[in-house]
Amino acid sequence: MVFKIIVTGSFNSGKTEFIKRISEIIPITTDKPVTEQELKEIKTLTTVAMDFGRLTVDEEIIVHLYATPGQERFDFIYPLLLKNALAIIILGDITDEKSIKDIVKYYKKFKSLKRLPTVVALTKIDLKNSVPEEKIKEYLSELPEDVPILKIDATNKEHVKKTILTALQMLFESDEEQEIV
Amino acid sequence: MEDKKALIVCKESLLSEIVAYTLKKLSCSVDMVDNPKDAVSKAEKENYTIIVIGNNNGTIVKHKLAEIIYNKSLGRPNVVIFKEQGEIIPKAHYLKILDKPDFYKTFIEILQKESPAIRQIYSPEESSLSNFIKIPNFKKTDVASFFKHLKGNVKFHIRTDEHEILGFTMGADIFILKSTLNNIYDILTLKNTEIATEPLSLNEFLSLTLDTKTFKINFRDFIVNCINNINNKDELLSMLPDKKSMVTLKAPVYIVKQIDLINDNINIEKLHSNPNTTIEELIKEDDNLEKTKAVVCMYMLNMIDIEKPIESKKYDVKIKKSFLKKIIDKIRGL
Repeated sequence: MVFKIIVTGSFNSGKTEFIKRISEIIPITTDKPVTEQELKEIKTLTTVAMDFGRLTVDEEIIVHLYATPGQERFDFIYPLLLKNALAIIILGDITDEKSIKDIVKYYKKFKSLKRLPTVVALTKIDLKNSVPEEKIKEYLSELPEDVPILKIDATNKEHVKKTILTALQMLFESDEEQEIV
Repeated sequence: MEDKKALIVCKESLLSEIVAYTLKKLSCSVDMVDNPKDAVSKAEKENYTIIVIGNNNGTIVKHKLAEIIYNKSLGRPNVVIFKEQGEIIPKAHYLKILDKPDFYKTFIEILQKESPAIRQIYSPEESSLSNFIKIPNFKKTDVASFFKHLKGNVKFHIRTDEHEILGFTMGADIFILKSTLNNIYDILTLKNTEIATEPLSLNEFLSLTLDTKTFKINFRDFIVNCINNINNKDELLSMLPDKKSMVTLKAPVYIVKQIDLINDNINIEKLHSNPNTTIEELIKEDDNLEKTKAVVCMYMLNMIDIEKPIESKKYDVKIKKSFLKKIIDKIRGL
């Protein structure tokens, strides 16, 4: 049985790095040179379709990790991706105001497609030029209170594990019977 | 009635003679045998219109013998079985079940006083089942649940206000010693049942008086026949747990495929490769009664594992809790 964890977020938020940390295979990436002039100044390669990683749990269970493209023109992929998805991780670059603002947009988009445990992770905490805390709060104020907001380094395996586990734990604890017990 | 032929398969000579006399009076020519081998041999060569089966010298149960004779017969005979009190005979389209005539017993009893020799012709079986379960600790138990969990080598006594069934399992077979049901395969439809059980030792099994009238069948076939006999979908569904429960095929595919009811109605390969299927999805595929029977059959025979999925109103996720726990543990251990 294949389940999925979806990692999304704006351009240059660290999605590919994120899945690299826990995938048992070298992620299959579809990075291509950035064509948009404005974006070229930020990075030279970007994900054009999706990155794919895999985690084998046992003979029966496999988890596929998908990093979806940040660009809006790939929105058509999302409904297909969400089948058997367990959680969504929305990444935002903590040093980039637009990237943080986009988080709410991604959240709304996915929520409208399927209700999944969602965790927001602000990446690049190792960099010094992060957006001020008040502004982050302001940009993310539209998120519901039950959506955790973590600050991580997407190249740090423990940070990545913690992010995914937070989302899966939300699902585990949402079981009604479990709550009663 | 000219040219009709009848075959009587019975070891009780007096009864055979009575039946033969009746049939001859109805212009049938009559053959008589006292064992299944001769009966089958004759049925293969002669075109019998009617075959009467009573107690005979074979070990095969009457309804099974009827099925064999019918299938091997030159023609398509009407098979009549003389049913003893308490004997269980499943229905079949070619079968007519009659209570074994016993009017002559009265004659015997009267004549016994005058002529003790008659005892040798008729010696009624006396078997007391009153002490079958020595310490009958009856508990209110759902009969479907009881059979789902029934193990080998167990004696059981099932009772309701109207019915009583005594039987036991030995290895892979189930034996029914007494039943007040018209059709034993109606047993899963019994309501408000109280059941007492006791282990059956091999010594006790060997000391039991079993003969051709003892109903014996492979337990798996018994359950399949019982389920096949239920044509009320709601009744079938009531035997299953929550319809949202997820199904995982537990038994090997080749074993499951041996049961026609399942093989004909469920895509076993698909179920095997998709352990995240719910009961609802299995049944709803084309929503027919046979498919429901097949799912109940798999459930009753413990061929599938049933697990409740995460019941979340918050998220649209379908996963077994055990699966999710495994994923969490895996990621923790990375």
